Amino acid sequence: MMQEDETRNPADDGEPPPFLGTWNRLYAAVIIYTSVLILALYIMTVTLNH
Amino acid sequence: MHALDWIVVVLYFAYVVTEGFRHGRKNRDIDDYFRGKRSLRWWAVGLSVMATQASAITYIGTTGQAYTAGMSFIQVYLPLPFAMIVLCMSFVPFFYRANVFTAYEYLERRFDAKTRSLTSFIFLISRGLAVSFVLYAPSIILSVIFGWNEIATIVIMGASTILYTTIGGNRAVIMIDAKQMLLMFAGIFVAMALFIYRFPADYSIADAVHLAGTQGRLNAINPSLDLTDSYTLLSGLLGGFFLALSYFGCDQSQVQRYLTGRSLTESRLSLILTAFLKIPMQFLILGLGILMFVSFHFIKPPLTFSTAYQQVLQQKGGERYEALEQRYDAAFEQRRQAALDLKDARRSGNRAALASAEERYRRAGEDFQQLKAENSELLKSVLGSEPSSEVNYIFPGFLLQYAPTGILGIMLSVIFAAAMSSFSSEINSLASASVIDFYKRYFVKTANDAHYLWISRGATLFWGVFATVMALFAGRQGSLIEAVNRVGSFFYGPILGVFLLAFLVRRCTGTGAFCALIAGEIAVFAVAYYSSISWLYYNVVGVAVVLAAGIISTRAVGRFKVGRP
Repeated sequence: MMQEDETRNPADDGEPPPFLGTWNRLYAAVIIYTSVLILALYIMTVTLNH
Repeated sequence: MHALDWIVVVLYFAYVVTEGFRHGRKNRDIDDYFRGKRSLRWWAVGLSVMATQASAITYIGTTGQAYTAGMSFIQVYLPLPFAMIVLCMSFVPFFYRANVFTAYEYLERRFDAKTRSLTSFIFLISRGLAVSFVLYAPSIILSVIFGWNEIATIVIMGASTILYTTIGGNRAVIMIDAKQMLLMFAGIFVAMALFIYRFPADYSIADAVHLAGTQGRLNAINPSLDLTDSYTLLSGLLGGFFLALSYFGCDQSQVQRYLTGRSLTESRLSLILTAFLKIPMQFLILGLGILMFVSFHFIKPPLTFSTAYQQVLQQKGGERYEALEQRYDAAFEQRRQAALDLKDARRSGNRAALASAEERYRRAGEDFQQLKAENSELLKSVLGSEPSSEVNYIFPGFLLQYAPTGILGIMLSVIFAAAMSSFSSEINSLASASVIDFYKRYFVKTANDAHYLWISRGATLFWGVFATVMALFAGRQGSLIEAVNRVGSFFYGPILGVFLLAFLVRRCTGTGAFCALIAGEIAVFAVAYYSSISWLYYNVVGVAVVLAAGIISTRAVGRFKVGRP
């Protein structure tokens, strides 16, 4: 049997993160940051590796 | 090694053991011992998560890999932040709210005891095998480079870590991990300064970057779609995503870190910290390998980095080895001059001169590599078997020869810190899975706190000793960083598949999940044996087969039940 609190939507957490106000904004920041890093690595490969 | 270096290393060991005893006094029950009473701050947990993943293999193997093959290994880490987001949204809240000690405990509540036990057993086997590499890497390599006794090196490292982990429990492990991680960060910058210091006076970072690029070492992104190529953007994003999801979401050595968070928010933040820092950290470590590669254009690297192999060649290589050494000296000088010419050509801005200098440098580099290859062939014929890869000897070999007094002690402490932070977390997690998922579940279900606390300490001691003994027989491997990930990839995918079934397929039964896990393991071993695809894809295969088998078995059982009178 599952305990009652395990059936809650795991993404639904009332406490916001201390940065950027909401969890979704923090996750978006991580995605943008990582995408920029990948793009930078790609540019480095294309321009500097020969 | 100078006495000052020994003093630095001894002080490091004394500090971590003392810290273990200090934290150990706070342990009253297994909630203290395994979860630190869920009272730890996000930054400490986050640094511990990183320290657990970054072993000495990361330093020694990754720098060596960048030296020989460039930066392509970074692609494995690119999807890690995305996996962290998925974990923060699903796995972490499920585990935290379920108030579990182990990830596998959750599976019994969701499915049944046999699924929990099998998954935990697979973790014990896979992690139990891999943990020996964590000790083996620095111990064997440092003993070869520094001439230390192999067994003594392994035993001293193992015993110190076992001592502070057994006494201090997970709270001690995390707090010491956090400090060890900061030491590792500092070590990266110290090593960078060491390499740059070895450049000629008028040689800049820009010159070094250009030289590394000319040799194809700045190959961070490989867009190839070849499934047999280990390090491509596709294998990195796809295989690396499932590898990270499984390692951080289903491996008790990591789950146990963030279960100690003071709140769900603190646990999530610890993974977000890792998401922000991991790729830059790997980039810097691979960058060390690149800087080392450039440095060895101006200080002559040995024909082979292993001092043991050098002795073998000197004793048994004969005239062939002497001739090879003479040609090697000339080839090194030719490559050094070509590298300096390349710098001058780049600065002149003359395209024709630059193209000509690049061509001369490439030819000199090929000649140099050809001699290294001939040396490997000679070594193979002298040994009568394939020599172990020199990838793992390059970084410590450089430190021994060129690190100043005192700095060598610090860098050795960094390597020890990297190994011990992973080793401590892993034996602590092996103990928690053994005690919570087996001993307390099947053998002694009710006993007082003191009993379970002593059993937990005994289990930590057992796994520590087991891993230390296994490290003595870890054997010959190629790149150590790859070997560890390769072993893990046989098990990570299927285990992740079971957790995804638990979270995503509501009607999946315990028996369905259990059979799906077995099917997933069979599929991964079959693919590894019969195909030549990169090991990174094993994770994808494992997840896919377990999910498919779980969904099919759930539907089949559902139809069977509907069809029954």
